[in-house]
Amino acid sequence: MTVRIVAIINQKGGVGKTTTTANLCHAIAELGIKVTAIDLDPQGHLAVSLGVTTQGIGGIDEAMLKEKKVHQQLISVRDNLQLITSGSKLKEIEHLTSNSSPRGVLLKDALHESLNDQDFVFIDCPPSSGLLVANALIAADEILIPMASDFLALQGLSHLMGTIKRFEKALKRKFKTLLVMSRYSPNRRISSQVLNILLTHFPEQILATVIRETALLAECPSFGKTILEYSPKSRSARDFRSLAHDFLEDKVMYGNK
Amino acid sequence: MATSEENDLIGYDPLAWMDGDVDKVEETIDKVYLDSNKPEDAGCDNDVTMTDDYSDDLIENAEEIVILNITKENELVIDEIDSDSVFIEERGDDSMDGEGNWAKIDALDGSGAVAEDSVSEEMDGSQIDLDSTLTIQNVVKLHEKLKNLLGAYDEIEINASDVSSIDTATLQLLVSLKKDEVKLQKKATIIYPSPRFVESAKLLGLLDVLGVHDE
Repeated sequence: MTVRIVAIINQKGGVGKTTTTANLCHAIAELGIKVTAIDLDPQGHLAVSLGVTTQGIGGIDEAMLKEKKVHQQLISVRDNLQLITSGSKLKEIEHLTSNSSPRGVLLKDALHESLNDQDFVFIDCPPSSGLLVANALIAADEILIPMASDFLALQGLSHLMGTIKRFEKALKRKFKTLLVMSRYSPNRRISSQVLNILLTHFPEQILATVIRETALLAECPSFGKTILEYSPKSRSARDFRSLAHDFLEDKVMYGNK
Repeated sequence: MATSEENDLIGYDPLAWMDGDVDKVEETIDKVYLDSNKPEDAGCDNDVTMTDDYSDDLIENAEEIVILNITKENELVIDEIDSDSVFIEERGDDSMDGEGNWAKIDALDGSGAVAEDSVSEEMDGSQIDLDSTLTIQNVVKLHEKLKNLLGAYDEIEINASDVSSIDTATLQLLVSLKKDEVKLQKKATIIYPSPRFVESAKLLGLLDVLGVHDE
């Protein structure tokens, strides 16, 4: 099986990128599927969410800067789940000076011929539209967009889709793009209305399970646990287990068109 | 397609542009991210450091690629009430207000008089002069202006000569207006579009729909 590289991306902050990455990766790994999660956000929140709080360790930054190989940066964090942290130099990559190698392919080059024993590589992107996100898009085969259910998230998604389409044109390939409704509040009417609009534009691209917003999901990162560990029988844990199946089986919502 | 009644908490659909022609986007990404040298037209010199300029470049480009039309449910219906007034209501839900929608106006006095605000510096009869900088912050006011002007005149002219910056929310408004011309039995013409206006419209593939020419 060829490794599938998935960028979890949305330049809007607070939509649940890191929560989705940590919990979805763990849920997939629980099924016996080999997953590597890359923390491409200089804030390093994915590592914290998975219980890695050691300061000063190198991560994807050193691999992108060609100081280390990717396999040297792997940290086993759960059964079938390994992590590559962001590393302290990641934010400096945004400030790289011009040199002989293109700046957008640093991650793609770092991952080249690496991690071939893995089934999935998930890239947790920063909430921006800068060089790091460009690297993720260029390295990725697929895109997973966590979406909050409010109007500004729709506006942000509009910008993001413009960015993705520009990259598709420049790279001359189409991304497999899926959306996941994260931080969904079923008791808010606007949630269903946002979903309704999304279904109009992304028929059969929204994963069937919505991730309902709960206090537990906000709590578990501080303990370095995923929801599957923090509250394994909670509805949030059920949501993410269900989402993992959706992702693996391409189980999506039907559209409105 | 969702109905406006179902979506009455959402003023407009920011993703509506995705139903249009999205192949007309210009590309700079290959130059910015895939070439080792930054292009001259990317905003700074080749030998400068890789700072926020690059991020901003992508953000700015992305921001320009949104919103080509408004949802079908937000299209306009216009009914003549009498010779001096018109009544415009949003199809399907006349309870919505004007926040981003072509909502209800009535009982205009026919003089074209509208409230003063900062959106347009000047209105000369059936002409409205767009401000230099057009952002989402002012789009509701501009919407009101245009709505009122359309209520007063069958033909209006939108002077875009001073536009130095226009965002997608404003472009969406203008596209929506142009798309509804026939239904409204009105005519709105964008006159003297500035190079920046033309550039933005061209980037989004909106020249035709806006009736603007790239000369």
